[in-house]
Amino acid sequence: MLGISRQTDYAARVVLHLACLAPGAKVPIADIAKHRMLPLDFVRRIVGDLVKAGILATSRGSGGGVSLARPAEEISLGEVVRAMEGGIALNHCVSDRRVCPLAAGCPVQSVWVDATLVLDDYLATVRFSALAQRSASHQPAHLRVQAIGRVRGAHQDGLPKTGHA
Amino acid sequence: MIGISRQSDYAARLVLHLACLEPGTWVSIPEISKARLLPAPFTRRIVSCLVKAGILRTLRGTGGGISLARSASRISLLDILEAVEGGVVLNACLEGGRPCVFSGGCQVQRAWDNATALLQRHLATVTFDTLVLESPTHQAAHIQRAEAVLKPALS
Repeated sequence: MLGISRQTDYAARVVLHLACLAPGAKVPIADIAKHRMLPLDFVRRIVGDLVKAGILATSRGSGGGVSLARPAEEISLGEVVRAMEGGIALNHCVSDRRVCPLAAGCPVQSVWVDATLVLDDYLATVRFSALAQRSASHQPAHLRVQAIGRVRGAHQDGLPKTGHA
Repeated sequence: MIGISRQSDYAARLVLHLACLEPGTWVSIPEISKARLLPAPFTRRIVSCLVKAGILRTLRGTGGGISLARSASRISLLDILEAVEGGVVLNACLEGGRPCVFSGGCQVQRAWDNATALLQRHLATVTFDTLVLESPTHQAAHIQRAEAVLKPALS
């Protein structure tokens, strides 16, 4: 199936969670994992990747935690995809033309390039500020789930582990 | 990396190869594997997916082989992805069967949905008749390359 990885799915939810908070808010990683019902170790790895990409910043000590490294309007879904997946290239001949000696005149290759651009251009327009703005009623729903303790074992409770953001 | 599988890559090349031939031409799987330098067992699996999806048809016996089941103008790249990958779905939350309890107001899900729709629409417009128009010199290059690569192995 052509699609993003679980990591990218979760990374987008982590960034959206932070974008919904007051600018500059710092949150412990464990809090995000709880609110968004994500496995803590997985969130730690994802945060590490997003920090490396300059999307998140971390600070240690009391009152420390994770925050957006820049304003949410400067962070696109495309950037998160790039940080997690290493890029968007619908076919391997798009990211590395050397894989095919006949790439130059190949009509299918040029279609994969075009389709990659369609996707890339769209994801660059999706800003987390806009996603956060439209999430006003959605974020509290996530917080409520945490309050009733359906965090671990959510799958057994009938809540799928994937798919909620 | 977001991307199509190796199977879809090969499936698209295989269909393009057939679309470049005279309509109704039957080609054997070993022949097409050679011309496009694809592993024959892999090609066989891909062909059976494409036959099931009504994109290719097979004919047994001498003079048999595979051919397009309908005209190249009615086969899009999206059809190939649907046949081989089961469709274009950017995130698991867009698949049916396991709906997300929060999907109602989820803005990220909406963004994945929009991106999926854009990609589907784009790939649906790419039909193999137009790809063939861009291919006359390219198909010849494949056949030359296959001959050059396979000659030492055959001799």
